[in-house]
Amino acid sequence: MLFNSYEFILFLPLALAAHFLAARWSISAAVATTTISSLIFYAWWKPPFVVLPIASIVLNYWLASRILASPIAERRPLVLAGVAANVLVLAYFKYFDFILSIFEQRSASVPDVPLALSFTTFVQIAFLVELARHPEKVAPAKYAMFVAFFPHLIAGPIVRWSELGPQLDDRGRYRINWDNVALGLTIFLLGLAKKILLADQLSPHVSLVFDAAAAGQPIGAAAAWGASIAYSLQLFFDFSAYSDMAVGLGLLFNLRLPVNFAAPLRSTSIIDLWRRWHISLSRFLRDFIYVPLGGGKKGGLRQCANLFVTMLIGGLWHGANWTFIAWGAFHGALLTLNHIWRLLRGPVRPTMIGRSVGWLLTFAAFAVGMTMFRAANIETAGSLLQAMAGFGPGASDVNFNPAPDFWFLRQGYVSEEFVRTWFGAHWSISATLLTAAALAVMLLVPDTMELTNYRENEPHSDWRRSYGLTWTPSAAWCAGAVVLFAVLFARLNQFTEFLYYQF
Amino acid sequence: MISKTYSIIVAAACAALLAATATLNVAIDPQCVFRACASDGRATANERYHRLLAYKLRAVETDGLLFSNSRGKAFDTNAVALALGAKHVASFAVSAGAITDHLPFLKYILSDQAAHGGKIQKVLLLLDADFFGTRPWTNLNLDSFLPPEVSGESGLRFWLRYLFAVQFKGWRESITSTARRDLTATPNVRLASLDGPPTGLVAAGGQPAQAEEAPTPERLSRISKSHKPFLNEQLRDLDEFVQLCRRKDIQLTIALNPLTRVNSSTYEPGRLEDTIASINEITDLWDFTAPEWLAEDLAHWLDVSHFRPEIAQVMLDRMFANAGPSDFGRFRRKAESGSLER
Repeated sequence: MLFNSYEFILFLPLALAAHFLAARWSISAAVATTTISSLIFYAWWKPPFVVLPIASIVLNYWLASRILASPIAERRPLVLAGVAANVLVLAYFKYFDFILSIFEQRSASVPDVPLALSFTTFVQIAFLVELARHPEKVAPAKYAMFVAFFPHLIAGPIVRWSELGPQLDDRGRYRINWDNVALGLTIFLLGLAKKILLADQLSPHVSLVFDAAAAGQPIGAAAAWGASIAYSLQLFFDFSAYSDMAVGLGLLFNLRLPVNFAAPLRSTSIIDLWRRWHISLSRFLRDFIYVPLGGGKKGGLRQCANLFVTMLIGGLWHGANWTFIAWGAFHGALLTLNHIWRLLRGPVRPTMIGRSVGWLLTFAAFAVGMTMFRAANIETAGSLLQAMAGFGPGASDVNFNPAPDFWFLRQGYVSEEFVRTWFGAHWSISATLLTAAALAVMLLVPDTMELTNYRENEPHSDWRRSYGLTWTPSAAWCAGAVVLFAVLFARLNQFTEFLYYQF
Repeated sequence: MISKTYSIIVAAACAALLAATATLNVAIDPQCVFRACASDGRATANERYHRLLAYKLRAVETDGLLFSNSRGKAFDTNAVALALGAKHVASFAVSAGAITDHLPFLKYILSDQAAHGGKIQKVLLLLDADFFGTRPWTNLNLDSFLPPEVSGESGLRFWLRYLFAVQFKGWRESITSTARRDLTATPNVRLASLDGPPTGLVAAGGQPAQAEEAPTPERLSRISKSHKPFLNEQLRDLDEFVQLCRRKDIQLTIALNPLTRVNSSTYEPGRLEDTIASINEITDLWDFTAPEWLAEDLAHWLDVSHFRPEIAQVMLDRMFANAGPSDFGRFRRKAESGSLER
């Protein structure tokens, strides 16, 4: 079920009502009810596949019980076995054909990965490791709700037991908290607006270029850059919208989920970007891959290698495709370069110009990375990157499509030659203007978390700006929320899936 | 304002909006999915849904099928049944119908017939050289969603879409068309829906003479309309359609609908011929696109896109009775474009 679907509009009030009515009976009843609601939410996609998260929850809980019952010395092998079992299941569904295709020297087919598998795998791995470090008795129903809780089930944030567990134990959270309901409704609506009014508007323009490149059609430099920048913005608005909605939904249940995006595309360095982009994944990669590998404690060279390996695994987590591996490697290399630069530069506070150059380089590098991330295969990524570097086809080889810029051409504001040379058949003036508008929104308009001043498990708050426009439950905001819902509801006919559902 | 009041007002306003939308949709029912109002002649009705309902009413006796876009509405199904030698022909002539509609309908009907021991014997498929390969309207608009049995989507999702769709134009159109239905009889065809959004493309360097031509609105429009980004996908669908009929031992006749000169001149020269040749690489076909006397004389047409029922009858005569004007309709054997006439 999608958060931006009609089904969800009916599902949400029913799930909320069931939760708080059951809570009047007992906490266990509320937990069980919401777990069942969450499984229904999951099963809406493909009912038989609901067996997978149920089996995974049961097996991981059993393993957790074994870890708790074992002497400290014997816990490590059990944790390792648990981690390996989770990774194996993920690998079977996600990477089996890809690995086989390498040996058989053929193209891998697109795997039919069960929804949410990547996210629940990481949530449960983190749980097992945390449990071994800090043993604690966990009730089975609460564990099931912790993993399956529908706001974060499909695409995160990747929650930790240390964040959600204590909240599930807090009796006070099983009563309606109107402050959280008001905040949650607002955050959900702002997230939905990001998704429908920004991400979904960019999507068709991005698809045109990437699909054409995948079909082997020539793409010019401006089209390749335009589509890559537009996709960077689309992915940000799409995924951060999902995270906002997850946070908003969590608040309706009186539970606080962690902040997952901190306006990352405003970052002035790649290191900063990765502190602010998909924070819960970055945190997982840091705690469970980078730090166990030695982190930065074994010398500069080793740190660079650790960073590279961590990002490579992070890339592979997104999917079984060389494009994701290349994307991970690219970011590993960028992070390494950024660390070397910091070492060379020393502790100097950057000037305004320095920060602007830093932002430009960071955003451009991110867009280059997104070209690999979005491309259907490594060959397509290669041809687009070639075009971006200025080694693509000349204007005379590029097709011409007058349709999107019909008005500009008819009015004589631009010539056919201009459109052909700069945009070709798959990019347009309209797409450029839309991308520029989305970029301006990203840079200038306060983020949902800034507007609402929501702060939960946020490692750094230095990214927040002061706009003098903070949400409060006022009449003006109330009217704004209702109008926003009306606008969004009218546009709900255009169904699109969240991009991160596929990972 | 306190949080509780804020929350209740927002939630209540949202719920009221949902309820009002649902009430309007059920009461006005622009797509005629909540009650039988398709015969009112409202342009917003979901014809795909109603064609399936009509088929279901006479599924047992149906042994012939007619697939087409709105141009096929000129065909009388009894006349088609007579020409095909079928007991009853179910028509799936729907506005902006494309092979992307026809193929899922055919699959559904074949499985439905197999379930009750019936068999489809004859199929007449009418295609269009101008629209084949352009963006299909299948599942694109509220009035063009395939019924859930055919598309495979959840029935609940299908109904919720119609219950909660905010469709000011649809509501207005339905109310006005209902109000005027007794005053005027209008043909149930939708020109606007057939025109579709312009999405043009022309290969660079491919036609240097045109590249030098001034970028007039007419020329730009012609380039746009000639773009067929979905040609390969639709050719694959057509091939599947043909193979399915062959496997099920169904006698399939494919014809290309006539076009007016006004209509065909809005395309780039040669583009329509290329499309016909591509279709002809997959299957035998009757090509009715060519005759000058028909293309030039608008007396044979309801409008620039839709021919009159008399022309439909002549097409049937040409295809199945070897009668009618010999310059109207060329039979082209597969991959031998223009080689055979009869």
